[in-house]
Amino acid sequence: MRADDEHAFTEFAQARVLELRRTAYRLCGNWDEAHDLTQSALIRLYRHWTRVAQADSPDAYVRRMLVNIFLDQRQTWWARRVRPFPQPPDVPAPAADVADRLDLMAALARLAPGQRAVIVLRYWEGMDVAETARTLGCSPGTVKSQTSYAITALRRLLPNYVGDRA
Amino acid sequence: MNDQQIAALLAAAPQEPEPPLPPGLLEGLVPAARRDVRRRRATAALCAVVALLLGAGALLIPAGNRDAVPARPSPGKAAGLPDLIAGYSPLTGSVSAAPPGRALLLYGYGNSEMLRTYQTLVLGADADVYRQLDAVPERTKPWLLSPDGRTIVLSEPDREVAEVRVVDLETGQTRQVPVPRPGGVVPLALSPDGNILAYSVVDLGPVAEEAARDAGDYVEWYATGHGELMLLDLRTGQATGTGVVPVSAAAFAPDGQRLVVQSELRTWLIGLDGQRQREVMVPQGYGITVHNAWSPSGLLLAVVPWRSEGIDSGRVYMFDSGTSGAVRTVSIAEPSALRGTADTETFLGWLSDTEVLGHAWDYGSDTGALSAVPLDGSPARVLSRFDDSYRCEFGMQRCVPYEISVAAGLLAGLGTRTAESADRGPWPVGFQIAALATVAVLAAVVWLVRRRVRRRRAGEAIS
Repeated sequence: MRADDEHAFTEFAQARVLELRRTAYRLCGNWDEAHDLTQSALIRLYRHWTRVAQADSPDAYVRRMLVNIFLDQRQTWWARRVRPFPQPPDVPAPAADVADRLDLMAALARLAPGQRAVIVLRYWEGMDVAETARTLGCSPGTVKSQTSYAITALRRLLPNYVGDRA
Repeated sequence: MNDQQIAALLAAAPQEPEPPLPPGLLEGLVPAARRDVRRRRATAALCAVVALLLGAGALLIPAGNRDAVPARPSPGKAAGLPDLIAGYSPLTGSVSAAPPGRALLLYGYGNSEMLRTYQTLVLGADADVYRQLDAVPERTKPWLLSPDGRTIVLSEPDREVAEVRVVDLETGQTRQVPVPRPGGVVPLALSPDGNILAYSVVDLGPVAEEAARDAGDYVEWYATGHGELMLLDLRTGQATGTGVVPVSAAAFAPDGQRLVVQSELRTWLIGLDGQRQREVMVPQGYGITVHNAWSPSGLLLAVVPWRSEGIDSGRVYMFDSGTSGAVRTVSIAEPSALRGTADTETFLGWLSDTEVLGHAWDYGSDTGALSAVPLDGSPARVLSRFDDSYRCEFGMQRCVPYEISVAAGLLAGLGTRTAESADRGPWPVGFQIAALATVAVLAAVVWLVRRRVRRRRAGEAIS
């Protein structure tokens, strides 16, 4: 990579690293893993930077890379068997703010990786169905159906929130 | 819980304080990315090299320990015969692509009961080297392997030619040597050094149509009654007529200075100048074997029963296969008395003055065998057997050898060795192209399957 391209990449990475790490955390629910995901996504971005830099929205590319890395890792044998956090209870008890956050994260962790990605992208990152579909590399119909499944699962996992705080 | 509620739930979720970035994450990002790029490039290059090596290996492994240039045996080194002659393989390379060096056998191999399966093969004299003689890939005879095993002389079985072809087994190259009188040409004998060819030439004009229609060796058959013996120096192209008409068999003396020749039912000694020296009065009804009749000591001749067929101008002469097939011997000094007896179906050459090499069916192993046949009438000793597996006609038939020609000068002191892995040389070009196409198709299929699996896994991950 040429020096000016590398300089542009460094500036982009410095500007987006926190935002990417936040998205990664929302996907995986663990800061250490979020750091790894972020670094992997940026390294992958470096390989394709010359082409990505000419695109209208490098952010969309790097976000898609991040989600793909997250989904790929969830497909691995190791990720299927080793959980970096304890199994959450089936029905989280309502509690104070900290407990609420833990309950929400625990409920998200109970979702399938794809459903979790759909929820994070659509409702936390504020993407519409089409953007989410492009980021995940699937059809809008799949995004809609997976959103529906994910909400059903969250309704079961967070019954005390229904019609209460939401 | 609906879309708005879940969005509100997530928006209202208390934010966890974000920890600082790990030290070195940003600073080490570019060096780590560079290492990643380098590692990927190195891996790609390594994979390419491995793929190339595997591809080249797939094509060259059947060549065994083939050398680019055939190894020259040390002078005087005795030739060897494997105790098992390898079976048919369409993957056997060609003489022109990978010269085998000096050869011990030249033979057709195959079967044609329902489907034609055939190849012309040479077997190396010093190792288990097999090559297809691509100069005549589809037919047997007329051919002749030189006594030193280094050259093969080829002609055409059913039409007139203006030259003979000489295949050099050490270079794989074929050259044409013009004959002074075009016609049907039958190679009969080569001098011990392989330089002088004794051949029969016959005018096919009157029988050209019949020759073209005939599926067999019409020229060879017709020449026994009408061909003239010629001597051709393969180095200079100079030919010498002998006036011996007809001629049906010939053999050079071990010193290469004269020949014994079968003409009609009489046997003659001929000098290199083409002049008849004297008649050899072999017993009536006998004549010399078609090839390699003269023993290595120069004292004996191998003789077999001969008969004539046809009338007047259509008369031809041939080995009498109807008479019990023992090969007999006579001495040059006293040729009228039959001496030794070797019980074999086909005489190939002399191993010594007391033993000949014969080819016959080995009923014990149910396959063809090459045997040392004593001339005192005692049982033959099998030296080598042909592969007995069903490899011809897509595994439906055994393969059988046809028209074996031996390097007669290598038979003295012939050893037998345990057969090793056959060195068949590089695959024929057609198979190489097919293999490369198959590898390319397989690679494309693997790539497509991998892409599909990845997409499916990604889809499963979403769903």
